[in-house]
Amino acid sequence: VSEAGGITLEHRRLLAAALDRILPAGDRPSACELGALEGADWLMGQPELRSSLPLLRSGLTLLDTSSMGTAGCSFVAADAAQQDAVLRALHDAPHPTMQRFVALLVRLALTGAFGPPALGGNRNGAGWRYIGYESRQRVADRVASPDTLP
Amino acid sequence: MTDVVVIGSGAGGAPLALRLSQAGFHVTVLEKGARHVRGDFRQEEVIVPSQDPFVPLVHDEPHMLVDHRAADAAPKRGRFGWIACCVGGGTVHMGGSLLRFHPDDFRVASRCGAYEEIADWPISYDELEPYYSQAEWEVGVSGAGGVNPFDGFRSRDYPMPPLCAHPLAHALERAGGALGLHPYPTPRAVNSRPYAGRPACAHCDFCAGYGCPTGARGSMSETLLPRAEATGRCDVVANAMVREVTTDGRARVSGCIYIDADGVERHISADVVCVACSAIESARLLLLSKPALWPDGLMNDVGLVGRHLQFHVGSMARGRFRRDAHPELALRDRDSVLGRAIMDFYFRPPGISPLGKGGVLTFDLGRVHPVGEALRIATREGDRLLWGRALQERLEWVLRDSRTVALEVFQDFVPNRGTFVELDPTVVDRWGIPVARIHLTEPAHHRAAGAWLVERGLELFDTMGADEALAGGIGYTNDVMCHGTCRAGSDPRTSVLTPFCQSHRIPNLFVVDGSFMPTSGGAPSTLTIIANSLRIADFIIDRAKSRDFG
Repeated sequence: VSEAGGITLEHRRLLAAALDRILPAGDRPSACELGALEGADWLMGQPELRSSLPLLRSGLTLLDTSSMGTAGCSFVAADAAQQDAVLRALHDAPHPTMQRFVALLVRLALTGAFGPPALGGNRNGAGWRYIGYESRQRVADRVASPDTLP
Repeated sequence: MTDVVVIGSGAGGAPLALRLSQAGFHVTVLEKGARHVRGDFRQEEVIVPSQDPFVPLVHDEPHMLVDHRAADAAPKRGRFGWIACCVGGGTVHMGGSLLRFHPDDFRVASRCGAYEEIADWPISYDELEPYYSQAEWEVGVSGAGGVNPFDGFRSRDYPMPPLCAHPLAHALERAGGALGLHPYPTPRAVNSRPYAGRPACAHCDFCAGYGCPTGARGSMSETLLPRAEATGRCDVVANAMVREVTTDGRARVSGCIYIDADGVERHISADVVCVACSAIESARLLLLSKPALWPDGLMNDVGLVGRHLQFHVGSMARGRFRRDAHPELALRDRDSVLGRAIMDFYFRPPGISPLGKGGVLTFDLGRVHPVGEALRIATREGDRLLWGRALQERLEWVLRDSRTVALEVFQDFVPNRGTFVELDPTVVDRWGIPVARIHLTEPAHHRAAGAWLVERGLELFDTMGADEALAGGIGYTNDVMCHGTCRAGSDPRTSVLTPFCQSHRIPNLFVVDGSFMPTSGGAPSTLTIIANSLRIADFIIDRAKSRDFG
């Protein structure tokens, strides 16, 4: 979701804030702490999702506009409760495009947080450690290297 | 020129190729898709499913679906009903539950009475039994014969013992016993020990939907096809799209026309043509082949080609066991297999739905694919999209703090007038050939029986002491296998094929995939299709000796 891909730095900041509402910070690692923003870079570059870039851009813009209207500040500057309210209102509006936008945010956050680190997200396997997946992944790695097969 | 051309290389085509080439025939197998090798298969849950390398791209070759359940029944472009286009067909990415059918699957109409378009099979379980055994040994099936009391007669045990099971399997067996049920190890086309030059399963947790990178799963491309090619009399031609079965101007087929990998149209002559491209694509090919004698499509003189299309019906439930509360269950991650099935509800008591047919309950460990599971939890588990702290708590419970046992119910898809395949009048594939248009209607029995069967599974989870037991989808159409579009029977007025899958009117034309099946069976049908293909191979060999094919 780099500038070269048609996303401005401002949009990127908005995206980071939005992803961190899908998996928020606190006593748990947030989506961006798990590498979701970098994962989104990879995912939005895939043929399957490239056509969704306009949806992402327009959704992020609307997110910010809505925040200005309801919280009186940019989405990035709003507090967590205000951000959640904006996101929920967008999702619940009778507008299928906005529902698709929120569903896209969820997909970017979860794929970026828990996908294979080789795809750019899941920073150093932090997402897998969070959910206790490393042991299973070790089994898959073993199969990928046939000389270590039992 | 070849003795036999087999169109399709999956569970229907590969057994024919093996037996006929072993018997001295020259066999040419034409496969529309590519040939994959072990090194092609990646164990990765983001790229592989999104690219789905086993079926055509929608813009290259869609299936058009007319869903009569929807308010808007306009044809929609998609991948519904595609199984696989590659050497080995759907067996390359199958989960590999290779169950035999119940003996009464061959006589559902007689046992359960008339309903929709159900019909008895023209053959019995006993006629197929020797071929079930052959299929299990050729493919390499791990299982335990004689444990399931609802199994039919078995002339030979499985070639391998069951896969090493997770301790939860034993908890399930105890709970099943307490309820008077009979859980047994699910037979799998997966090696529990090295077999026929292939290694034992490494329990990688990337099975159904993925190619096997070690060869431990008995796909046709790992088992029967290499043996057929090793005879020196079988050529498997990949990337060969057959567009028409040709005739000699009389009541015989002469071969087929296919488009090769370079886009060049070729004709291959053959004494015998065997169509085995899956029930939807086989019907499509026959309807595309319109010689003067059959202006509505080969064998379609009574309008039955494409009718009686069936899939399976699926239902899901999940039982979850808290890791810190069940140390006795040793909820370890090392093993990926639970592998138990229950056939106690294969037939149901009266009063549940119009048809007294149930299905098989299969239990396995829930696959731990973090992205897929997280997305399922966020988007499909509840009534609305889940995010924020509620999503985090749910992810932690499902992925970190509990172990999931997944129940998948298989039951018959009832043949009915509203479910069939025809040629689409307007949409063509990348070669300019009309694509299949699928009409889908679901009889009320599907959901009623599915709900009842899932209830039985939830009772079992409760008896096991599950900390959570939730139903998933109920009575949905599961399109990973398809059947019925060239029904076999004794009467040419009501069937397309003879009991030996031979055209009633064209003696050297056979259809040898799931197309022949009058009913879909209440269990996965792959083993039955393989066994039947071995049976038909014997028939062709026998008839060729009598010079029936010229």
